Amino acid sequence: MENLKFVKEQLKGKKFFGGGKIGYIDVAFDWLNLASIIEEVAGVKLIDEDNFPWLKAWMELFSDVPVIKQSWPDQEKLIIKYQFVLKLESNQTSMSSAQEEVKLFRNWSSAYALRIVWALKIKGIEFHTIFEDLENKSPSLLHYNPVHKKVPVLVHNGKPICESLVVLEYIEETWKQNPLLPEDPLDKATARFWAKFNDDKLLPSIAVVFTTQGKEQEEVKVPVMENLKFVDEQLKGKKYFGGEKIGFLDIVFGWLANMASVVEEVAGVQLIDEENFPLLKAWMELFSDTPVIKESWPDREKLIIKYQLRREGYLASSVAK
Amino acid sequence: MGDEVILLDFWPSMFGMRLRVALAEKGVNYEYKEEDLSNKSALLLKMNPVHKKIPVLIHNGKPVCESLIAVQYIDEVWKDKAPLLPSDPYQRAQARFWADYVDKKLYTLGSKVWQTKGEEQEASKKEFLDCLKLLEGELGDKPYFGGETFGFVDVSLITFYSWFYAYETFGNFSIEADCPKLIEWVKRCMEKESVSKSIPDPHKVYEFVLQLKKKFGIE
Repeated sequence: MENLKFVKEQLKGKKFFGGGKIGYIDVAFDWLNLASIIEEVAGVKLIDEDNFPWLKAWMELFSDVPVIKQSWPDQEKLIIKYQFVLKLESNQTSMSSAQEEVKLFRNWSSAYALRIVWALKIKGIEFHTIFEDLENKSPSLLHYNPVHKKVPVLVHNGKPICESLVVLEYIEETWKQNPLLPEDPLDKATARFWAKFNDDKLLPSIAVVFTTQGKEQEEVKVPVMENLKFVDEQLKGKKYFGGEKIGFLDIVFGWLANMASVVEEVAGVQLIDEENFPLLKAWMELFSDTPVIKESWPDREKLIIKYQLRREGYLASSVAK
Repeated sequence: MGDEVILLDFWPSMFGMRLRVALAEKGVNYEYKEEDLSNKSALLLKMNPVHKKIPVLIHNGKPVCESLIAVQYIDEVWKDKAPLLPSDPYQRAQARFWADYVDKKLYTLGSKVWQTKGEEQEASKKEFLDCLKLLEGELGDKPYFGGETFGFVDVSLITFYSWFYAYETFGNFSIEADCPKLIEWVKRCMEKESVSKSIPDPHKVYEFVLQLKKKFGIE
């Protein structure tokens, strides 16, 4: 408005900017004919008769000049073009602000971080990923998770949330589409119970199998079998832990669908077989086949190499003892 | 139509105490059943076949296990009184994070304080105090971890107070000396009836730990 005021003052006492006839400045300002297009597409009033009477008068006079009029681009076409441009602009702004809004700190292999990736994808949330080298943690990670200094960390609008199960509940409560947890408090408590069971019992028991061999491994395999039996039973009469579709508990147990076979291969042990755990086996295949899950798996070859090295390290240090 | 609420518990358990506090906050009537952990009841084994542990909340015949899960359950079912978790998702995440921190750290470190001696004990004491100091920092100037009102993190942590005297005596140190603001918070919480009536006398807990040490031959 201020800029237009300056322009209108240039027309004081004049027919055209150039004086009695069209001059250099008139040609430079000719684009102001687009003003009406901008006003229509962006829904804004810029040049009205009350505020800018000389400018309005000049626009009419200028447009009426034959050599000008015959060169105007098609008004309808212009409106369509700028409507499209406006739409594109606003999409890009909302996309980039969504990407700035949600950040996930993870590394390439962490099963805990994968939970968050799946939850965000299932809910269709745009997010930006920051891959961490856990041997050389970034200042950002240490800033966002000073207590545990671990991944995953979700940063939403600059605010960090740590611990994967806490993050999952946060995601569930913040973005309500495609709910992952049941509504009923008892069902919710049951889901949370099994999630804790996975993190406190199942996963650590499998980790122990992974770090042992021979007779010792046979012994520590026993609690794993018991734990897996409990989990297998939870699938009775259900397609997924979440019922008809993937839910919170599928995401928590999801690491089994990919990592169990890695542990089995690297540690030379059979854990989840069809005979003993038919429901679990079926679920693993179904779960893995889901596109949003499948596309996020870490590279299997890389995982084998990583865990082979790790197992060698454990076995070497236990021999040294 | 009445709710039938039973709590399977063991009097010195700081985890069981959390449910007592939460139920008291909500004004829920319940039947308290003391378990003998050396001779667990058929009911306990039926209601918690996975872990066979207390506390177990049995609501209209259905069990809820794991203390923080049960506290959340209590908060969600009896939601019209004394909300323990805030309504904002980010605040809820912070509350869950700190309650999880208490669970991950305090029990194990506290146990080491009374079960070990010498260098190991000194190291455990230091770690234990560091955790309490971190929690004290998180409390800041707020009256409660929940802010103006007693909340989820307060419930999770206050029950450990009943074990402080035992930790301090066996570890030969003072928690108040290092964490005065935390002890102020303890006193504030203990003014609430829901807390003071749910938590046993710390001296009784000390006697219990003494018996445990004798039983397991821990010097």
